[in-house]
Amino acid sequence: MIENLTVHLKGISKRFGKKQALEKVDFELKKGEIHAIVGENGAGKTTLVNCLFGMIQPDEGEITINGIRYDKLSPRLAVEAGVGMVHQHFKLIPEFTVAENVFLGQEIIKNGIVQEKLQNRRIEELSKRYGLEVDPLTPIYGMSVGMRQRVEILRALSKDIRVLVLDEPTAVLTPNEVDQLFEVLRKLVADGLSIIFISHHLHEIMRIADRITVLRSGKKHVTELTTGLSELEIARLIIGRDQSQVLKHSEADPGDVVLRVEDVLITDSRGAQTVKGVSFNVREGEVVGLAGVAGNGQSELAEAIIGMRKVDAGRICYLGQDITNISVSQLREKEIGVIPEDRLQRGVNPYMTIAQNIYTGSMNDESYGRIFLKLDKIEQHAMDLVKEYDIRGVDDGTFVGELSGGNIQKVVLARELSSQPKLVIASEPSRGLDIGATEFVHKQLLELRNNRSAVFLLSTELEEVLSLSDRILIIHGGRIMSEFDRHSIPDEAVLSAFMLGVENKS
Amino acid sequence: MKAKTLLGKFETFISRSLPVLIGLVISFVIMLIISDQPFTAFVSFIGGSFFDLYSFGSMLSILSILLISGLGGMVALKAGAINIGGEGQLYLGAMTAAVIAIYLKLPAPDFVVTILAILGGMLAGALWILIPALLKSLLNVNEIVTTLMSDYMAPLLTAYFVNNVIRNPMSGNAETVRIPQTMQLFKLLPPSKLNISIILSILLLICLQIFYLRTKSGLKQQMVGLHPSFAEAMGVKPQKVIFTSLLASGAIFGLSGALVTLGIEYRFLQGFSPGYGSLGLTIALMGGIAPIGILWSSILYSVLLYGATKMQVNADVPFSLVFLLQGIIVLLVTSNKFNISFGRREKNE
Repeated sequence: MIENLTVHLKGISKRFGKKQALEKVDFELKKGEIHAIVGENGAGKTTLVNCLFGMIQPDEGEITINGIRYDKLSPRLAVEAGVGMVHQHFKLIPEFTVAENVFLGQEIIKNGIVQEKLQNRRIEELSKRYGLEVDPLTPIYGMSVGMRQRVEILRALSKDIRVLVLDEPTAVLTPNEVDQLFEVLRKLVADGLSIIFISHHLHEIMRIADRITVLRSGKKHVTELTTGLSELEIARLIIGRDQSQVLKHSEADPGDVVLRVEDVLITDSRGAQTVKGVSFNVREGEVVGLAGVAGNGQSELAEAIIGMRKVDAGRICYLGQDITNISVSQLREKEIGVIPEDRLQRGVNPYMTIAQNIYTGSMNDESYGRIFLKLDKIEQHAMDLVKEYDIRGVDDGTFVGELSGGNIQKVVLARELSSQPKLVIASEPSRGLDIGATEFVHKQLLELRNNRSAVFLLSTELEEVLSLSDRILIIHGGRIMSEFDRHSIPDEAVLSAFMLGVENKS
Repeated sequence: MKAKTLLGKFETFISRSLPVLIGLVISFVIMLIISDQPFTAFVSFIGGSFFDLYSFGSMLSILSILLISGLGGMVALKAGAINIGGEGQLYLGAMTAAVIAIYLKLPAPDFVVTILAILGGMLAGALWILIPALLKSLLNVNEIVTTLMSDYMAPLLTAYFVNNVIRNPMSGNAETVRIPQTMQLFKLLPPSKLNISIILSILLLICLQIFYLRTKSGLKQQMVGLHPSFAEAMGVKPQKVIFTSLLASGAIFGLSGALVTLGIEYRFLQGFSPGYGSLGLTIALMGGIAPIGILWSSILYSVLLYGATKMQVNADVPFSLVFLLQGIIVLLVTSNKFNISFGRREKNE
């Protein structure tokens, strides 16, 4: 065993059902280094660190922490071994104070009484030492995301740890907060800690990490020193697969502008600005794809267009009409089809029948009845669509929740697309679907485009965007980084670089 | 296909009836322990409503009230809201009906006054839930807490009025004077108190059944109740829908109270209700939040409530046994419900 290794993972494998999440992954963390783990969504980054933290038991492989080999690691054992973790989603109790949260479950107790003063002093010590300024007596609610993260880090540091794991710590932070976080991380490393850092943002990795390990669909691709690598090279390492085969589609013949988005600014529910001045338009007869890593403002943008989120500034126009901040019911009167990102929450009502689910999309259509519903007509319409969209597993009055994912999405498509809308907003239309269903969805979207609809596709699957779009926009950090048309698409590595925030220099 | 649904129906029938049967067995065991004549007690309890026409009529008059209350509970539940304050709305409705019929001295024919009294009762019930409904839809304040609080206030508020403002000075009880006979609801089976409320209650049931199965507004109510985030995505505003459903629920409980005053009590009496309102929520839940189911569960409750009165007369078992039995049944029914809903949730994931 090499002396200065803090963590040594050897041949870690883990299966979830049919999916091989990790396959014989080796990973070494040296003492006093910041080691970034990068890879695409689903490459196994989070699974790997969860194995290290004992939240997941690997099927095979060895875990050695500080020279001690652990056969069965639990979170408790991991903490004892000196591993601390800051999760992507904070696990704090908003009503409790900083000190109460930091020492939750591990209070300093003397004679059955919690030693609050001692706890507070300990927090003050830690925060002074690492520049994590927080007041131990402030309750969590009302704190900014950055402050909450400090509390999480303090909680990890309150135990005697040697390794700190940060799962996408910068995703929720403002640039300023990121700078502060990095300063803290450098102090921790100077103090002898080792840090594992998961991030999608390449320029951050360049700034902070000493080495990177690239995971590709569950396998370790390479571990390299960061110095000497360019962002583009890292991006290439991350993607590094064959150019996807391009789905055949005819030359686009774009017509009038159907959707126009101008300088849109959006603030999300946490108060962070997620869309920072986005402008583009979608014409009839073309598919415009918006590609980007999840959480760069796509969801908020889609919600704003379909009336489910307010826009701070800017304009959204549909066929020349201003539809900025209109209500959902007003929007549904227009010929706009919406395929929402969260299928079970917003795409269907799993507890209602297929006919009811399909009808709810046209509640403004009075030919189905103004007050009293024409149930026969609704039922008949639904049955026609079940046939047309080949929805399977349907009995009399089947609840949508009883269908498979692909068939549920077909119900959404039947409701939203069967009326040949002029504009389609499709968010992650093939998420979680198998190959067959994905193909079906893609064919539907292309057919609409060939029938002169305007299609706006938002997807984190680069391949999906590439195979469907006539024009591609790349979003990063709430801004459109660059735009390509179908004939001038650079290779995926370059695209990924843009998706990860590399500036467009051309 | 057909056989499957038939079997399914039989299964739901069994799973719905089983808790009642178990509850009855337990109550019989209790009677065996505490009573000297357990069989008389038990027979009166179960069959007391069917001994004679008078008993049957009395049971039906209770049924008309409980059915309406059950529907009142259902209307809120359909939209995903819980109105715990049914008893309070019922008290306000009952008192308002009495005030309109007795004290307003409206210059109108008697039957018009009766109708106005009924409408007034509904309005009072709706007003009593207005604040919880507004708080729920504007500020998302939990309606369970607010309706529960308003539920405590109503009997006390009405008690104040009936003791200090509208008390019948000739009576030893805290009650109003009697409603003129011409304004009382038409009796169907004298001398029992069965009156046209039973027809009203069945009409309301049919109307609600049609509303939820066949109208657009009914569908919207259920969309919000079953899956609010999807309703929102389809342009239905959950806050608005819940607001109307709570008001309607309050109005129906108010109706229930007005019908007690005009058809059974003929006056407003302090503390007159043996839980006509608070039973509404239980009956609605037991009936599976569906009109037909609620018909069955309200029949069950009426038979037991009236049977308990009989049992008290014929045997040495106290009326409060019915509440014990009620508790047991509700416990069994709700635990059964949880089972069903967990099964369904797993399927969806």
